[in-house]
Amino acid sequence: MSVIVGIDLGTTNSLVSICQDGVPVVLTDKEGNGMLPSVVTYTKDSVLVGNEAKKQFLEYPDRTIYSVKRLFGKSYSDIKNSSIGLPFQIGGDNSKLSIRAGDKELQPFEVSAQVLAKLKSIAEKALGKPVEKAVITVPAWFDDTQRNETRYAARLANLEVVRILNEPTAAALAYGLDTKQTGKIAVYDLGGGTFDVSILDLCDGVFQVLSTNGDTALGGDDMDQALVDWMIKKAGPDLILDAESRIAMKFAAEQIKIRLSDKDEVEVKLDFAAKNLNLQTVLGREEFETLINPLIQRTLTSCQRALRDSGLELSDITSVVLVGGATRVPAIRKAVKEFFGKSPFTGINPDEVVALGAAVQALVLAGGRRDVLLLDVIPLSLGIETLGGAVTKILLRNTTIPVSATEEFTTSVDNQTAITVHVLQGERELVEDCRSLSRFKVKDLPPMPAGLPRLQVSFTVDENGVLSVKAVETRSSQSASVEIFPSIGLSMEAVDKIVEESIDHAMDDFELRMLVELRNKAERIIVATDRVWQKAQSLMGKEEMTDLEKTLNETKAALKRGEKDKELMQNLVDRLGDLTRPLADKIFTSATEDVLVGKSVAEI
Amino acid sequence: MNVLQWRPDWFPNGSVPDSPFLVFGISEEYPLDRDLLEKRYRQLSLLVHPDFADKCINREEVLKISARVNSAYRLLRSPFQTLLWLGSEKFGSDFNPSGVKPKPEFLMEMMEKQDEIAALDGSIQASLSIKNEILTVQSSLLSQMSEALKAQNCELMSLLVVEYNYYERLRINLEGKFA
Repeated sequence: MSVIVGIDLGTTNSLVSICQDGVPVVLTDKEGNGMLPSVVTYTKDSVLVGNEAKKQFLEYPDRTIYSVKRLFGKSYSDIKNSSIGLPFQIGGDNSKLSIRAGDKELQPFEVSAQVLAKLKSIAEKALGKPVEKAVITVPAWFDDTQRNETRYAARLANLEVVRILNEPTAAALAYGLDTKQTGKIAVYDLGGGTFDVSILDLCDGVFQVLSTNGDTALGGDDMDQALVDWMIKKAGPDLILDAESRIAMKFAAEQIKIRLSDKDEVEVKLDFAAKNLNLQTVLGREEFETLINPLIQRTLTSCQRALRDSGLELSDITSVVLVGGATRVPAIRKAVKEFFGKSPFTGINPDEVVALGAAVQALVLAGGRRDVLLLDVIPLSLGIETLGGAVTKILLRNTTIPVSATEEFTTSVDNQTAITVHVLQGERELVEDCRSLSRFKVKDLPPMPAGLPRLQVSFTVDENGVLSVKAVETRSSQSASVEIFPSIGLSMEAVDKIVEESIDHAMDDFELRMLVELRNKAERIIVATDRVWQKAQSLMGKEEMTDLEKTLNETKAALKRGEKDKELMQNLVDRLGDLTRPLADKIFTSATEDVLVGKSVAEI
Repeated sequence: MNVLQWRPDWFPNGSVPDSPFLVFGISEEYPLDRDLLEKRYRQLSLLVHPDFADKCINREEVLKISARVNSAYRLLRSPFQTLLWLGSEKFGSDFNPSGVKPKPEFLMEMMEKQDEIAALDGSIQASLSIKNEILTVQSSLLSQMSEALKAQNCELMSLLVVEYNYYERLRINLEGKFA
């Protein structure tokens, strides 16, 4: 029997687990930590993951990447107007997204791959043997693109994904086996960045998902963000809002949130002089609950929809299970209790329950037990584009998988010799509101009048949630088919290529690479100089300062307009280097002091 | 395969029967034995689901069987779909609801109901009362269909199906308004 581990790849924390003698346990590192913060720091010559990386937040705010799961399956245009509040730089266009970590450009899955690789090594050390296969959990409400991004991450970490498992389903599995309960249960899963609710029927070892709903952009992070917004408002207009002050406030917000779980009020003291962030106030639990109430209401709307789709009444639900660290917030517990009319079950650690369930499924898939079966559903409807940009659904959301369905379509134009099948995912009626998964053509049709061709389109979703689509024109027997995984967006080979290409391309385009490096260099100098600006006033002569300021402004303007002239950028960087060199050791001292100030913030 | 012979590990000639009832070995009648259906669906799933299916059978076949079992179960979980299936089984090609035109009075009534839904101002109370009304009518239509089936009245059955679909559309519109 091969070793298959269960992995909960979370927005804020990740865990790896396995069944030992049939009982799921979380594997720990040598310090005994089971939870690995999903944080990665890219220093100049090494990559740090987990707690080591988390320590770097304040020193390297622009190189420390976290909450990257929220960026899965997103393009830059998807997120640029949202209040996602991440302090590191995100770039890209309407088809892709990249993260800047110092001088590295990364895609979100590359960052997650580092977390997975670390979990793999924790598991290998704990078990004393190689680990090559895993069941990895994802939010139930993840669409295909987001699921695939998870697969890419695993691929880069050298892990074979034997199953992508929905988080609330995994939780239900752990819960059901632990309590030996049967009945209809609701799983309320509020993680760091995502919210899911699933309703399941547990009986005779079969865990049947009846419905699922959620929001992939709603979680504990958003509560922190609500607190950060509140701090920004309180801090006043002089606050310097940058990566460092954001990080400091996020840290403080996390602490405040956690403390308010068992205190009625907390003192908020932030003293970060360099950023004009001086806050001394008290925040009561009630005020905090008002701040996060809109978020809670959004989760309840999802609960309402899941309940409706399950075809059950509130009174049919026999128990409610809470999953995810954010469900420790009392206001959440209260809201869930009021909604479902019963006290939620909290017997299993909400941080671990998903990973434990993943370990059980791993055991089942390794052939270790035959008395437990998960019957999961497709979370979102699948269909194709029809006349006028409408979407005709072929498989409805919450249909149990595996599933297969066929529908017949025809043409609306005379003598069409090819028909394009555009595969879409989502609940909305129009193509533009759904996620496009794939487009393929049935070609070489004999010319026929409109309405005469009979195009049979079959959708099959297998037990892994992988969709394949086949289209046959039955009058001419022309056919075409596509497997949506792994061909949406990228195939596995394409993922491997991405990483190679990101290196290759830069090599090919030497000029461009030079330019990018110069820009990065200029940015680093600007950030460093800004940081010590006030001290520099007293340390340098007036003339030098004026020169420096002039050059800085010139450089900022060049960066802003995306200057492409390499010579010009080189000249600016050289001048900046000359002007700031005398300041170098002062910059260093200053930077250390700033970090110290920052640390006191985190330890409020 | 008749009802008494049903064994979860056996399909005649290795293929899934066309009748969703026979997949689960329950008698072709309405209303069906819901508890037995649920129980047998679980038993069958533990055998045919790809996670457990015999690794000797080729994957495409495993997937097909599992998908067929799931479809049969989904059909039988819906009273309306179950009745539709029984209708076409009993009446064959005579059963053609899409060729039936409902009476003008009925259409007028539907239009009035639709206007009522369109005019709703977000009051939960009002929408709930319309929803309950729709559900009551639908449930009565289902019993009438069952009677029509027993009485072998194909024409009436078709008409009832059409009316049911109109109410279904109203229900979806109502839900869409409060999504």
